[in-house]
Amino acid sequence: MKFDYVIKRISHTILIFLAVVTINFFIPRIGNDDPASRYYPPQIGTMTDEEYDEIKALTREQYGFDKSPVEQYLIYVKNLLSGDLGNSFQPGRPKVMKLITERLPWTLVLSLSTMMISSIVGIMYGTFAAKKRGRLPDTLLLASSTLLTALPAFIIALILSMIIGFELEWLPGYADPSMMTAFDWSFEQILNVIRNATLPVISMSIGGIVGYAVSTRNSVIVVSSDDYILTARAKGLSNGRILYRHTLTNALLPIVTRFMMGLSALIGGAVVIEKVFNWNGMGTLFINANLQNDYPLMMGVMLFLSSIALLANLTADLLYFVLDPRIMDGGRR
Amino acid sequence: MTDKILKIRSLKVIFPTERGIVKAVEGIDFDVYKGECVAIVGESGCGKSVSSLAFMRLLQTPPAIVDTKVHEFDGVDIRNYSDKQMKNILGTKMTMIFQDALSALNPVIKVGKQIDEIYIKKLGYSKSEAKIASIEILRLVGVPSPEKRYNDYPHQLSGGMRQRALIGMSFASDPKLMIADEPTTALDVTIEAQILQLLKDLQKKNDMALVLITHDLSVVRRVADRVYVMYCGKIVEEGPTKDVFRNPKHPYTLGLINSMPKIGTEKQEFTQIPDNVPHPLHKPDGCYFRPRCSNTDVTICKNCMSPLVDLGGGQRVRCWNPLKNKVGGDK
Amino acid sequence: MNNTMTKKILNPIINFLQTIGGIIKKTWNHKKGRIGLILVVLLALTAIFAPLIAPYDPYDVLQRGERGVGPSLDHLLGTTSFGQDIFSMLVYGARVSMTIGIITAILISFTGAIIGIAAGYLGKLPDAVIMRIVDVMLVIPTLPITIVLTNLFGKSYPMLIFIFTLFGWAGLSRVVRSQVLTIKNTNYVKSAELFGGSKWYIMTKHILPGVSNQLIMNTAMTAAGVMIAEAGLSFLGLGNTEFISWGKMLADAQSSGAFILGYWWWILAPALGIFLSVSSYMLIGFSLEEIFNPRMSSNSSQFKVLKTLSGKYIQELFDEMETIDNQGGEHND
Repeated sequence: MKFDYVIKRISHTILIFLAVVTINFFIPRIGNDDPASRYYPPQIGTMTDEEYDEIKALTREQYGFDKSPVEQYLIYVKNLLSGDLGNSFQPGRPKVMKLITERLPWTLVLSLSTMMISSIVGIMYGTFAAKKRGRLPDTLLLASSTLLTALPAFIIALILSMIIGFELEWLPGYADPSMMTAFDWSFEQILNVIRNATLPVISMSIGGIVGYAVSTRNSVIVVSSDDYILTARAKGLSNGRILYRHTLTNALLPIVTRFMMGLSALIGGAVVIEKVFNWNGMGTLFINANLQNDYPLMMGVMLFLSSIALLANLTADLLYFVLDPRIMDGGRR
Repeated sequence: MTDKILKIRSLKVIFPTERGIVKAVEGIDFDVYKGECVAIVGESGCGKSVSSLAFMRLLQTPPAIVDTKVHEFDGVDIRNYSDKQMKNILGTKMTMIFQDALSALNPVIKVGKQIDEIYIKKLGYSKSEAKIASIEILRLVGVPSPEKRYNDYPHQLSGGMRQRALIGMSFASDPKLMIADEPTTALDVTIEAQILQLLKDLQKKNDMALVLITHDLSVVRRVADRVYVMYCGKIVEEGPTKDVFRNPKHPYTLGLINSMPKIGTEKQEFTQIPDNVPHPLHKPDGCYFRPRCSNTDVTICKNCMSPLVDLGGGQRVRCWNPLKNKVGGDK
Repeated sequence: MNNTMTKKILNPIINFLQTIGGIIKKTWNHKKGRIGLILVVLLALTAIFAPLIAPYDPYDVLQRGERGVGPSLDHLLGTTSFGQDIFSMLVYGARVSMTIGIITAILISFTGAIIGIAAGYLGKLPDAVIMRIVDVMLVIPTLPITIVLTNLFGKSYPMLIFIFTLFGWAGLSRVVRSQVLTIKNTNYVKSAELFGGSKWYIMTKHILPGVSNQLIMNTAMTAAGVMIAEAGLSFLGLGNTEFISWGKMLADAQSSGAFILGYWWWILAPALGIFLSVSSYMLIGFSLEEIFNPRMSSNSSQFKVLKTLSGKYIQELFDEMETIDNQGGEHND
């Protein structure tokens, strides 16, 4: 009984995953006479025609283009399960998975930092604004929320990069190109990464902070008018206890979901930010793949991003299950 | 030493809104003697709930503005008590329970822990001591298998059980005064009887004063020693329950009593008080009850409101033309 | 015969226009809404009359001026590295943004509404199927999938609008569906069903009006979102290059080294354009939300009301309440 919800969510996730996998399979194969042609790496100048034919044959073999669609699909899934997303068109035809795992941490540096900063600062400010409702901190928040939602993160990024990066030169406007390769976990390098990551993270965080703050503020205000808060006050509990043990434990429930959803949105949105700062993460990997029609790489990254989004959703639901006792008895709030 | 646990003189509460100032409570005097049960009865919107919150100084500014001439708890003037000083009294000596126990309890904390909170935070118990005490209180208020219920969440308990738990939580600290705002309105009639009996028993046990806020006269009749009748923010009649029921002096009180469905041998028509309660922003001139009063041949009622007049025997009424008829026992 | 037919078609249209008129009036009376409406109108006029407003024709290679100059009398917002007048580009760029924004938003609202109402009202199998599809679409990250699809199927504007719509309706349909679920259980719908109304009838005459407020609000917000997405896409260089768009201006600025050369006007102008156009729709959307769901922000006015009340006035009020009882003699203890 209790775990019905968990089982339902997990099976739902698997179902959606299969659907996404299938869509991912089909997309590059539609609208073309010879779908295999999309998977042929480009013919490099030094290659003879025979060599190229051989490569084409190998490619067809690898993805099973000469077989029936069903068999192709099975090969695809089989490869997927062993973590093989195919080979990229880049020189040396490296494995897509390898490229992704190389670049992923760099995107994560930005995304995770943004998530941490946005949520923590946002929640703190939101609670504060709710307390000072109707006064300056609150009105300031609401005004900036209206303003800032119209400023997409990449515009903020461009402006910050221009002013702070290039005019004032307080922080790098472009990421240090040697940062990735030079990284060796030394303190110096870590500092360098932090330095380079500051502007991108700030650009992405500003919107996030305001978003979390507004949500928290609204949630706290709604919860504060609930009866059990009145009970807590009638019990003569200290203001701190009321806030932390009673108000926030309830008000932050919807924020938790927002937090997890934010991860997937961030990774998708990081694509643009990475271009502003020339940051070599998965975003730029994807853009370049697109420019070179590197379909294996493109679809690989797509699948990866979708999977992260799915996992984030699942985690959010499970977290909710753990935090809100009303869910386990089948009721939805 | 005084024999009153709560003494209120001229309590006024207003709510400024964009559309005007809502005068929720317009100067009421209220006394509760130690160990007695007093009821405040009236229709929705008459200001009884707001008053009860004001008794405990739980109203916040904004949105409310509160003023009192006298506000004494157990002989001590608490009118200017700071937040901290109030928190010393609240939850320990003066407690409150609300109508809907489901919304009055924190949905994400176990019931037992919410009771523990009183013991740990207000009475200085340790965690293990608190747990034992909470289970005992649950037992005392009639919750079966209290050890199991201790670990339940509010939504897992039945309505009656929840209300008992809420009462237990308010009783844990041996309060001298408990205010119950419509404690049985959301419950079935049979459960209602049990809860009322529970409250009476607790009263007796600890010489606790009980203020009962309700719109249900039958409840008042059953448990209250004295009753205050409120209308549109003012007290229109007060007195010992027996006297008020037998000889209501205010037409409104009579109307309330008559609209109680009674089981009798004859079939009667339902008597109603005509019209509706006035909108809080548009109260009538003069006596607030005049538009609905059948006794209004007195022109003075149109121009000004009567003060509360002492009729002896603890009964007071706010009427230029109080009723003189006796209400028979079988009507 | 013809009269009743035309009436049948005209009546709903007239009703619709009247509702829209009423909403516009309400928005005008709202502070935020008024600014939004003015902006939208200004931008629309700019877009329509671009050739008249812009001093130069940015598409005309012969009208290039000096390269890379800052704002001057000749060129109000300076020129690009290619000598194009930025002010003119700004003006022309409004065309792309405003049209794509509103067209896509309307299409999304349309599709999302139909599907959402169908799912919510018809329930069971249609609902389950539709919701699974929605789940899948929401998991796939929008920007990457757009990039993939434009790569495969071309970057023409109709294609862009199609892709945006294809992935845009999912979120809306979920919201609509949950609203429908509430409306479905109201008494007036139930009685309409009892009276034997066909499903179609109920969906159009009862459910649709119930969700129309949400829809209109959503259209405004979606338009804003689409504009941001299009700007981001163009900035990545993956949008349509036929017409001038603000996103593309930013991309060109960055790749031409505007940062390094200090051509701040080239960055600021399109950024401002994006900001203003997105704000216009968002302000309307926000004010619509406050009009249709008057809740939280308006309560802070209580604080303002309190501030304006003079202590003297309050004291008079209180004294008034007391005088009545003072006449009767006080309780004497």
